[in-house]
Amino acid sequence: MLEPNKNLPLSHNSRFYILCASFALSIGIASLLRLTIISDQLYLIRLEQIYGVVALIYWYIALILSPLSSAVGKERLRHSLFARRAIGVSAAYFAVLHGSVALFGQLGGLSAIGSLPGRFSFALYAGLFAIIILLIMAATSFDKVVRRMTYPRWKLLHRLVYAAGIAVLIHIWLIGTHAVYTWVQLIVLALLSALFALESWRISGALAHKYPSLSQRDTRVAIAITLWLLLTIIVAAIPGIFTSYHGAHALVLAGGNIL
Amino acid sequence: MMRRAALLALSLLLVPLGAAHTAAAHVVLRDSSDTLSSVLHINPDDDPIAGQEALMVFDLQASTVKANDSFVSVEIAGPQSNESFEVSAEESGNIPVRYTFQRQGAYTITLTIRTSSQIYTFQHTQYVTRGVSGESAEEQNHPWAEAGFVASISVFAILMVVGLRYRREIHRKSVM
Repeated sequence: MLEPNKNLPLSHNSRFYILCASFALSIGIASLLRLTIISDQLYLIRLEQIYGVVALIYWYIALILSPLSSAVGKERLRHSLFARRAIGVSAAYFAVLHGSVALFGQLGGLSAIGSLPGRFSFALYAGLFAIIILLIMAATSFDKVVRRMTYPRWKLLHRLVYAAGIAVLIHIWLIGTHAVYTWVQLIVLALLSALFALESWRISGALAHKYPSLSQRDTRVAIAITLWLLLTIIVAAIPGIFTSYHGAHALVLAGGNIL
Repeated sequence: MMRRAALLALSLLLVPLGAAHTAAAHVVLRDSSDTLSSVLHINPDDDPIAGQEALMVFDLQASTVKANDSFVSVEIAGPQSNESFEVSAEESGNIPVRYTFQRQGAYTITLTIRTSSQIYTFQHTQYVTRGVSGESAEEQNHPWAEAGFVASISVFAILMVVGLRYRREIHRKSVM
């Protein structure tokens, strides 16, 4: 990961700075929250939530860089594209921290999963699946591994990020505590829509390159819009397929024993 | 045609945005005999406000405790009060409790479920640190957190200084 070429010292490598900053950020967040929150339980909840959000921010940046570079040109984003591996590893690091705090701190260990409500444990498994994928990607982000695997196989393996993305969306929708806020939903919708639009444009470009008959601009635009719609519909379908754990409590929120 | 389809997709996305609730995370509790677990949700934002109504929902496995076959009571012991009352369990296994914490402080919440065969007791300590002031919770020292915070700020500072020192090399060499 930190050796794009053997002559590049760490002090000249932007990935080194990103990884060190991510580690310091994780310590800083944990320390600051501990100093400001009295309750141990609330501390763990906030720590788990913030680590999760930071992991998502890193992941989103890592995901959007590739399609963005297709749209604006790789030359303009060459520094960001170089740094992307460190951003992805940071996403995996924060995802592991998020999962560890949730599982061992907030829930009390692996044994707790068995006693959780079905929808809750399903959401945890979806999150766990995403973390495993992120870890696999982080572990295979070294140049040596890429060379050994060969680039096409490595690329194919890293396509698993999309499966992990769907798993994370399900995880967040089912038990994400702040996913119930309309403003959060709108921000996520806008960010995902932007990502899908760029990704669709990139895929349509790749198809046009492979099949010259699709290279007309109108055809490419039509393919991109169709793909964008398809992806947004998949995301839109998640709430219809999976009832949110907190949504299931909506009736309780409306009623309840009033004292 | 494309525009219509786009509008349809967007409207589909907006469907789940209608219901606005406040957030509540989860605390897993085990009963004193370690046979039953409950997920406790506390609203608003896991952090009740003294002087304002809070909603606590105990989510139990529905198959274990039947709503019509159990007697459920809650005791809330605070800095200046000790209240006990009966609540009702829902068919789903949820036990919702609305309560207004009068002042800031540490409250011990005890949920007792008496079924025909067994008694389950859950206990949870809830700190209330917002709203009407009262006895402030005991200040805790966390030397590791102070050290960790200083260390993280120091690492950021060092990275900035070193990064600025080598910015030209980074700009020239850290590229695809």
